[in-house]
Parts: sequence; structure tokens; C-alpha cells
Amino acid sequence: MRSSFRAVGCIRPTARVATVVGSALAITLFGVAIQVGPANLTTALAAFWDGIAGSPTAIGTILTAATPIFLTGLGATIAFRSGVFDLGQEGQFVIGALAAGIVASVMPGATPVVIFITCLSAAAFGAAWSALVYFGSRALGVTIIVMSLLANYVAEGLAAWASAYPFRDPSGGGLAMTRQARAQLPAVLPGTALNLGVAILIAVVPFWWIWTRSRIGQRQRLLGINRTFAEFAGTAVVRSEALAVMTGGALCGLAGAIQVLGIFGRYIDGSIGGNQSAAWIGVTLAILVARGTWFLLPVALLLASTQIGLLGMQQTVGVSNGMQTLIIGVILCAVALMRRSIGSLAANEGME
Amino acid sequence: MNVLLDVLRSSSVWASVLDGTTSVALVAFGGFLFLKAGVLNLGLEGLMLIGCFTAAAGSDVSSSSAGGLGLALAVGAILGASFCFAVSRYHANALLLGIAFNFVGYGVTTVLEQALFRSTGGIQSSNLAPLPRFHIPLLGGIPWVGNIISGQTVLTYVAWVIAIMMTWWLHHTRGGLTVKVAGIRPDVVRQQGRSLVRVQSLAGLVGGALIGAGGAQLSLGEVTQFQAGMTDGRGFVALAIILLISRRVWSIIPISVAFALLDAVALALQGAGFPPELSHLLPYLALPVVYGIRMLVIWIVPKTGTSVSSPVAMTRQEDSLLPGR
Repeated sequence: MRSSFRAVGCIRPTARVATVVGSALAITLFGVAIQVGPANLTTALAAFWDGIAGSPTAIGTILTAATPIFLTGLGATIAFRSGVFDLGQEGQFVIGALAAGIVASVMPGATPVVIFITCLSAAAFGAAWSALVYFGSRALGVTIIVMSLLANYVAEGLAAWASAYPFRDPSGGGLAMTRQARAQLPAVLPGTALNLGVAILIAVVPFWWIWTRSRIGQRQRLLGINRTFAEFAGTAVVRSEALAVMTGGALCGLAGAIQVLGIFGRYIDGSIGGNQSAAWIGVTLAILVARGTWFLLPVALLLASTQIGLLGMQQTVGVSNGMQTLIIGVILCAVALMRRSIGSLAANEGME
Repeated sequence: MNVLLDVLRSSSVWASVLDGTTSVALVAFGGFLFLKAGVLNLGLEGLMLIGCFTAAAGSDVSSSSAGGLGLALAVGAILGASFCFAVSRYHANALLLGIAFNFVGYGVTTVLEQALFRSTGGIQSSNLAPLPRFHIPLLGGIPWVGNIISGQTVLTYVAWVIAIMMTWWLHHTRGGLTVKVAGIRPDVVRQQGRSLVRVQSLAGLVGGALIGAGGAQLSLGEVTQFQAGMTDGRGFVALAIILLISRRVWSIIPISVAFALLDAVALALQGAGFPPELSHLLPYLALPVVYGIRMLVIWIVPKTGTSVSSPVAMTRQEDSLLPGR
């Protein structure tokens, strides 16, 4: 195993960051240039910058975008670092948002009560969905990577059906969506969509404490580093893995509830999931920040700014909405090339 | 019930089922080759989408289906070989790279579509030439069966031949055995004096071309257009099929037929007033059922030769999305 450690650590952190940022920048410039023509590149970049820093309310827009990215990223982080490669964050996000849309539209009571119950049920549904996928993959003998990717399609289909038939708002016209929520998260910064949901960014503190200071965090970390050893050390592997997956699912579901209660006011089909979903940016966040805790916040803000900037370019100069997906793909390619796989190294050990 | 019986009786439905079978089966064949060579490729969906796009774009530019198919095969082969080369030579993280390919597949096709064709709705010009369909002289005369088997695209017949040839090749030839050994015991390949990088990259080359062909079948066979994200999970279904069959290559065809049939049933149910959002889910909901049956068979008949642990074990301890600590 020694060779794997050497290989993993062989690229300096600064060089790694430079490679990721550089490849993302290169593909952005290239992609924009071939779409709008090199002559319009400066206009496009100005639109990008305008989106991020053009107005005094820009910080609100970025924080609004960063909230679901951070929450889904935190969910993915907990699952990945516990050694479970659950890629169902998008499905959990959608299921949570759907549950929030339904509960918030029928729940009577004062605003804080409605918000609390809605968030709770969204988290519960997200956790239940992820548990279903996790135990399903165990029972059926399929790797959870494939199982969760397929489950995302099922989650989106279920949400599309639920918002189009049983819980449809008849006044929505052609749009499939649930009824108007009876409560909204209060706005924080007037003129932007920034709402109280942003307060959840503080979750990084309890996460840091649990992950690095508590016994349960220690156990989860150990499980992620070496499953076999954790098993020998007496960890109940299935219970710990299920705990990680369900906590992740609950966080993603909560992210869905914040989108519904803070921004849309209801569940609108197609606004949460899909290739452009914030959950996929969250997955990218979890993969980028493989260690440490506090870096989750600045990187989430960075990714959110990129998303907002791209949105500006899309609206101003008509850059394709696929740019965001392409950039994620290129970033992950760069990370994959730098992050040596232990498996192939172990297999080749002593051969080179 | 009547709706379902009508579907099963209609020869035109079965003919379109075979159309749908081919795209999934070709992608599954390609992915299976990756897996046998010891490289799990999670990026089938993205590669297939790139195959769809290159086939449509090539056909649009050259105004011929051969141009489209050729471009899809070439680009698929290059990407497949690069995937294996990066994993084998540079020890890139295969899981991450596969996931990345799915994002790149969607992103690059939508961006290029807008850059090259100035459209956001898809490529749908009159230049697009569909794959030629062969009418078999003698078979085509048989009343019901003839309508189904005759008149398929060239890739459908190719897929059937591949099913037979790949089964034989993997189990009975030196090359096939080398690929399998590369998947199970890479060190043995090296001890034989062969280059593991070369074996895996060649498998990736052929596998990538097959995936490209699957994409071409979708955009030039089933329909004659390209749309963003048109694969709609077919690559993931192919991936699930690969993990299901363990080593019986030929069984990709019947399983793909079953999934294409579910698509046809879903379409018929829609016609009967069933919500399309739910009927669309049929293939995905069928997968757990099929896996459940497989587990049941393994449980009842312990010695079927099926290695149940392999797909699960593959991503357990050896590989990680995060760097090893």
C-alpha cells in the first residue's frame, strides 16, 4: 500500500488547485468563444463579471445559489467520506422539494410552524428515499453508484407525476406545479431572492465538530478510510453506512425545502432536478474538497459565483445552458487525472 | 389488458422494439468490453450521447449516413481508448472519470450544437440521412416474422453478429482470454510479457466504437434527429444490464429486447390514457425486479457460476471517489 500513498501525494496542493481552476477557465473561454465568436468574447466575459459583481445585490444572488450547493455538497461529503459512493443527491433534492411543496401547501398554522414542519418532512423524505436506495442496492447486489444514478430518474419521474396529477395546482395553466405554499422563508436582503435559508450555511460548524471531535465522526471517518479495519474494530458497518446515507439524504431534502419555501413558493416541475441541478454542483463540491471542513464554504461560494456568472452570460449573449455541465465535467476530468486510483496501483504493485 | 395484447400482436411494434434493442445492446457490448478488461466505465450515458451527436453532425455535414456512422465510430473509439489509457497508464480514478464523461457528454453536445448548428432545439435538418434498412429477400416474405426481422437497420444485424462473435471471442480465443485476464489478474498479463496498457486501451478502442455505434443507432436509426440529452438514461440502463449478466455476453440481446419492449408497452399505456410520467419509469422500475430475480436464483441455486460479488466488490475497497488517506 505504501506506493499508493506516495502516488496520491505526489502532486502539490497548489499545482492541483491551479490545474483545476486552469482547466475550468480554459474550457469556459473556449466554449464561449466557439459559441459567440472570438470577437464577442469580451462582451461575454463582461456579462459573466456583471452577474457576479455588477450590482450591489450580487452577493445576495450568490449566497442564494450557494445555499443548495453547500447543503447537497455537505450531504455528498458525509456519504463519500464514510465510504459510500451514493450519487443520488439529485433525487433526494427533488424528493425533498416535492415533499416540501406538498406539505407547505396543505399545512395549516402559523408561519414558523409551517416552515418547521415542512423542512422536517422534506428532510425525512430525503432520508427515506436515500435509505430505500441504499438498502435496495444491498438487497439486490448492485453497486450503489449505479443504483443511485438510476434512482435519480425514478425520483424525477415521480415528482413530475405528483406535481402534474394528484397535487397539481389547477390555476397553473400548462405548468405542472403544486399549490402555493402557505408560508415563505422571510427575505433577508431586499431586491434579491436571498432568504433566511442562507442561515443553514452555519451547519458547517456542527459538521466540523461532529466530524473531527466526536466519537461518531471518528467512526464514520474510519469507515471511509478503511472499511475492513473499521469492521474489525467493531463498527457496525451497515448501520454506520446507512446513517451516513440517510444524513446526506436529509440534508439534500432540506436543501429542496429551502428552494421551495425561499425561492419558488411551490414545487415547480423541472426547476429542481435535471442536468443543471444545484445538486450536481454539490456533488462536485464534495469531490473537490476531499479533506478538511472549512474549505467547503469558500468553494461553495466559488462554484455558486461561477453558476451565477454563467447564467448572466446565458441571458446576455446567449451562451448555451450546457456550459455549466461542461465545466463540471472538465473539472471532474482534471480531478480524476490527478487523483490516482488505489485499485490500479495495488494491482500493478511491484511491476514497475 | 387489451392494450398490452395489441402491442404484443403487432409486428410493427416488435420491429420498433428491435430498433430500440440495438442502441442499448451496442452500448452494453461496448461497456462490457471495458468491464472485462478491468476498467469499469460509468460514462456510458455521456459517451452514447456523444455518439448520437457525432452521428447526426457527421450525417448533416456529409449528407450521408455512412459519414455520420463513421464519425460516431471514430470519436467513440478515440474517447474509449483515451479513457482506458488514462486509467491504465496514468492511474486516473476510473469512477470519477466515468462520472465526468457523463457531464462532458451532455455539456459538449449542447455547446457544440449551438456553436456549429446555431440551434438550441436540436439538429433536425433535411440533410440528415437515416441508416439504411435492409430488406431480406426470402425472410421478408414470411407473413408476421418477416415484417419484424426484415427491414432493420444495418446496425441491428451487426449487433446480432457481435453477440455471437463476442461470446465466442471472449471465451475461446487468445485475444479474448488476454482481455479477461487483464480484468481479473493484471499482473499475469504483465508476467506474460504483454503490455497491460495496450490490452486495456485496445479494449477501450473497440468498446468506445461500439458505444458510438449505439448512439448512431439512436439518432440515425430510431429517429433521424439529435436532441440535447436524448439518451435519457439509456446509457445507465446499459450499465445496469452489464452488471447483471456477469459473463454471458449473448444474454445482452434478450435483456435489451425486454427493456425495449417495456418502452413500447409504456408508449401503448400512454395511448390508453396512463400518465406518461409514470409509464416512462417502467424500464427503471423493472431493473430492481430483474436484479431481485437474479438474487433469488443465486440464493436457490448456489452453483450457477454467477459471481454475485464482483460488481459490488469492484467499487468497494480498491477504488474511491476521494483520494486514499
